[in-house]
Amino acid sequence: MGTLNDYRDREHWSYSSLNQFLNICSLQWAFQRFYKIVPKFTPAAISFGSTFHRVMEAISSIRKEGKSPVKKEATALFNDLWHRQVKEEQNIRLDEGITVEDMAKQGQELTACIMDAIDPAEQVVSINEPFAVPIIDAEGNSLDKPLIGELDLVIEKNGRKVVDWKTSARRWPKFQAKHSLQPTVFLYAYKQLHGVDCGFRFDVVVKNKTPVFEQHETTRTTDQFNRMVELIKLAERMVQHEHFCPNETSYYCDSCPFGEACSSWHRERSKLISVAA
Amino acid sequence: MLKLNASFSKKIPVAGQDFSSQSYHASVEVELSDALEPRQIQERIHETFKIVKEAVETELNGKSQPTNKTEFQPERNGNGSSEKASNKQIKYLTDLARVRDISVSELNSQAKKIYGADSIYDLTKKDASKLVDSLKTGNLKAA
Repeated sequence: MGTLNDYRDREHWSYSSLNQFLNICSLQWAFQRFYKIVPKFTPAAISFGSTFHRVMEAISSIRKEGKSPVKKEATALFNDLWHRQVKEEQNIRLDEGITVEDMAKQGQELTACIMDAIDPAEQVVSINEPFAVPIIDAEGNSLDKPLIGELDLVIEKNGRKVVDWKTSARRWPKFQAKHSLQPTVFLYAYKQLHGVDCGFRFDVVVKNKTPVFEQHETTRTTDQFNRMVELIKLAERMVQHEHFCPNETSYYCDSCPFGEACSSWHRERSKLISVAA
Repeated sequence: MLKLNASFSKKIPVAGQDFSSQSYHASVEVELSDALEPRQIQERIHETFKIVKEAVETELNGKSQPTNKTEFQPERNGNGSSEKASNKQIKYLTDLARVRDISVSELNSQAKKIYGADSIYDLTKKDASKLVDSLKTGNLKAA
């Protein structure tokens, strides 16, 4: 079975790469993936999300075997994995006033919350299904790079759905799922892989004082897939010409691991332009 | 003093490029003793040619070190070099498939069925080339 790491060995696009380029900050994308600057730190939220995913994988594996996961074991697993992750990752940066133990407690509460929301009637079809598919535009022309990624979960209940797990600092606005790039990317891949359309659902646990579980379902059309491919083509042209633009108002700026490189970016760029001129 | 010149050349198609091929050629010149019997000369010709042929095949399959075996070694899984097909190769494959109205999922199914690869991106360079050939010759058709 090809793994996501195998697919990463070739030049590619992925949802996280596209989202970073198109929606977060193309300059951050460039620092990380084009100029390959080593990030100064890993934001704690990224590590926290990663631990949460691993717990959800474990829960889903138990469900796939037709068994019921035990809440107490799942919360204990989060606690173990989180502490291990903090220990192993060298440069996790916590938000001000938040401790590792605060986050351990929050993670266990979120896990308990999502466990209460599990629908036993849902059948788990696959977990962490890696994919690599060609990117083909409306005229049938394929791009050089494939689209790669991993589907968190595929379930079956009144039709098939790709499910993505999320933790969120706040409740989702009504149209967030509708406008998100992620379902477009994943459903495009699913259609290429299996030749059929599929639904998409975000399973979100909101980090409120008392965690809240939300589900947001959405679908995508062929026209939306074609639009995505045009966005990718545009991104490729921008990369080719090194047209990277800082998103000065991105919510991500405060926790950006490339903040230092970003703050001096315009000075370096001026130098380059003067030399070239 | 006798001089023996053995040479071997092989042309292979370039994946993803119509009407293109790459040619690999090697030749060796050795001196043989005048005193050799015709049968011995024949043996030396055979051995020398084998060395040259192996050298070309070795280069073609990305092996830098020659082997001691006279017969060409079977590759891993029997499917040729284990190096994965390049993005350009896969692009050519999918473009060909599109012209023949074969979807990516069908192409993936064929890759699995024929070569045991999970998807076209898991094909080796050699297997991708073979799949391209199957598409070109019409041996692979839309379901």
